[in-house]
Amino acid sequence: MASVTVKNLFVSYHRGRTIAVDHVSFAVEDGKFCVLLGPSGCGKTTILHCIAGLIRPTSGEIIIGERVVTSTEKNIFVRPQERNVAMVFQEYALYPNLTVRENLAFPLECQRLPKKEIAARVQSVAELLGITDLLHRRPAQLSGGQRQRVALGRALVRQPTVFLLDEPLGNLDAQLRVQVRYELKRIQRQLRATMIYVTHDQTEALTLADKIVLLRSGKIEQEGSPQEMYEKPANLFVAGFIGSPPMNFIEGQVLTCEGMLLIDAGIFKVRAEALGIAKNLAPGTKVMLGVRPADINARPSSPQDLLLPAIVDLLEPLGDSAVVHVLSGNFKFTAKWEGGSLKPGGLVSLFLNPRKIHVFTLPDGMRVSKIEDGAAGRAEEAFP
Amino acid sequence: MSTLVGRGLVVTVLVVVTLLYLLPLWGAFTTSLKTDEEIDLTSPIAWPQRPTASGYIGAFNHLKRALLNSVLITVGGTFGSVGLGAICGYVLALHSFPGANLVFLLLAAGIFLPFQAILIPLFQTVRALRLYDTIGGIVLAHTAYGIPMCAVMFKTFYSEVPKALVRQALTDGSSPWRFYWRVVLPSTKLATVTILIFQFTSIWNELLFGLVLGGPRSMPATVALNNLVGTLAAQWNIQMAGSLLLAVPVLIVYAFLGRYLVRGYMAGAVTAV
Ligand SMILES: Nc1ncnc2c1ncn2[C@@H]1O[C@H](COP(=O)(O)OP(=O)(O)OP(=O)(O)O)[C@@H](O)[C@H]1O
Ligand SMILES: [Mg+2]
Repeated sequence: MASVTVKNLFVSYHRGRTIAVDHVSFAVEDGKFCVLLGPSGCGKTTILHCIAGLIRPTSGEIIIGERVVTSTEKNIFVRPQERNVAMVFQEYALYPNLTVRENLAFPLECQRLPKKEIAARVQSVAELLGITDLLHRRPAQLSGGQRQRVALGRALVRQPTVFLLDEPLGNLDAQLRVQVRYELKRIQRQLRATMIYVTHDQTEALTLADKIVLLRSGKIEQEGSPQEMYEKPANLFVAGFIGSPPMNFIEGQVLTCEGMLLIDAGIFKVRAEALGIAKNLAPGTKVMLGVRPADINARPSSPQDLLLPAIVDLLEPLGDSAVVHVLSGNFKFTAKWEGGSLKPGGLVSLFLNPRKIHVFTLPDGMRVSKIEDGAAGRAEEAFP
Repeated sequence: MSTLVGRGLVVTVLVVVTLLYLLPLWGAFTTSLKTDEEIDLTSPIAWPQRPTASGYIGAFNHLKRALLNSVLITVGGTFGSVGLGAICGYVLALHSFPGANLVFLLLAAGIFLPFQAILIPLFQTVRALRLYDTIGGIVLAHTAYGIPMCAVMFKTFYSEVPKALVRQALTDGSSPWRFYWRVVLPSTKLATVTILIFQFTSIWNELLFGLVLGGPRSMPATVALNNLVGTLAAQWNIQMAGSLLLAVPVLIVYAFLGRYLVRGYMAGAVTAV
């Protein structure tokens, strides 16, 4: 396995009128699981194709392991068939005329491995993915989920430098998706494989990734561990994209009152100091406050908690808990509810720890860092 | 009631048209079985009183060398043009390279070149290559002339192979060649058969190249049959038998592969997922 480094990758189409990837740089360490995350059309597939050598970027450099495989500056381009990357495509792309066994064996035949070894590897991958019964079938005779597993298997039979997976679970039903996702993570750990995985599903990203690269319109918005992205979203876009149900946002303004800095959000006022922000905001600054539904509780967690009286609008039961949509004044928000039963139209008291409120300055939408950020950063390094 | 009448009308028209089409063929068939005297005395479509194979024997003796030439020319020209055209079509359809559009444009233009326009330069080229009056020379001409048509037809068929498959093959470590042999060719059999038949029939039936580039040693059967008309003025039975002999290989090909032909024209010809 190998590390992957992408430097200043730029891809434009239509003579520069469409920019698919805009000076993207990131690195994936050897044996790590990296997720490229972002809304549709943000350039995820294009980046993956560049790494695989299927697209020559307009400019930029890609290094796999020690080897420069693409460099517009040094005029280097290694052909895809010589990069030894295993790719699973958004479409399953199984060879229609070959059986499942032949599909799985195809990449190994290309490496001219001995027949015996091919047969053995195909067999073990088929067992791993539970498709031994399907080996004699053709792709047209398989269900969507089975096809997807064959496509995964065709990548796993190889010993590539890196796995590139483009929404490989997109067409599976919810249950199978969770199962295959788990399998994939287990296999990745077991093989210590470097994987770059594309998805627009943030849950998938949070559960799978060692590192997330979040993209929008061809640019990186933030990269980091799932925990970092969740706890310290760099800006409003990241905050809104990561987490389900999404973060609640409420606009506010910084005021001074009797020498104290306050943030007035309409339905509540909060002392700036209580938020634990690392820098002082000038009075008059407009801010956006963000609160995750999970941080709004039925019971207070500290004496500083803000109380939000609200009217229940809608209840989405999730089995053990529920997502409750409530109205406070004319502000609508969602909360994770683990208390007793609620009725639409009923009154409810919700508590919110001000420490958990994310503050973003407007209009740039950048997060205001918090006092605990530094400490958390250090704690994370100790984490293996 | 009216639909029944309508159907009857349609069937009648179809039968009449079919008979009109078959009549000359029938005439040729009956004439080929008659003796010279009977041809002079009876109507061309009457069944011979004493059918004889002498017309066929005569025709075969006159044409056997030319028929062999035709077989060699047709097989060589068909495989040459279809083989090379397939490779061109494959690369044009599924692999991009600089200048691909220009190449395609030139090939497409090649289709519209009339035979007659290239005949003299072709003759000069073939003679300069010392291939005049050789099977090889005629095969070369048919191959070169057939490539554009084959390439464009193959490109059309191969364009239906999903691009994702090509990308998959490349990242699987396959060369474009291996992908072609292992996946593209086997999943487009209908297309290949369709184009093979198309080329086979056009080269087998072709007259002009054979006339200009062929001589006594290499002339194809079409040319030899044409000469027969000139030399054996009154021997209708031999001429008719010769014509029918010439039609036999085409009929055989259609009988065995015709169903592919229809399917190839009708369906997408590609069995991709
Ligand atoms: N061949 C092309 N020609 C022109 N524009 C292209 C081409 N390929 C991609 N694009 C554009 O580049 C942008 C990024 O496309 P890309 O396929 O990488 O998105 P994506 O993040 O994979 O989206 P999705 O989640 O929908 O698969 C899009 O705006 C797309 O329209
Ligand atoms: Mg994509």
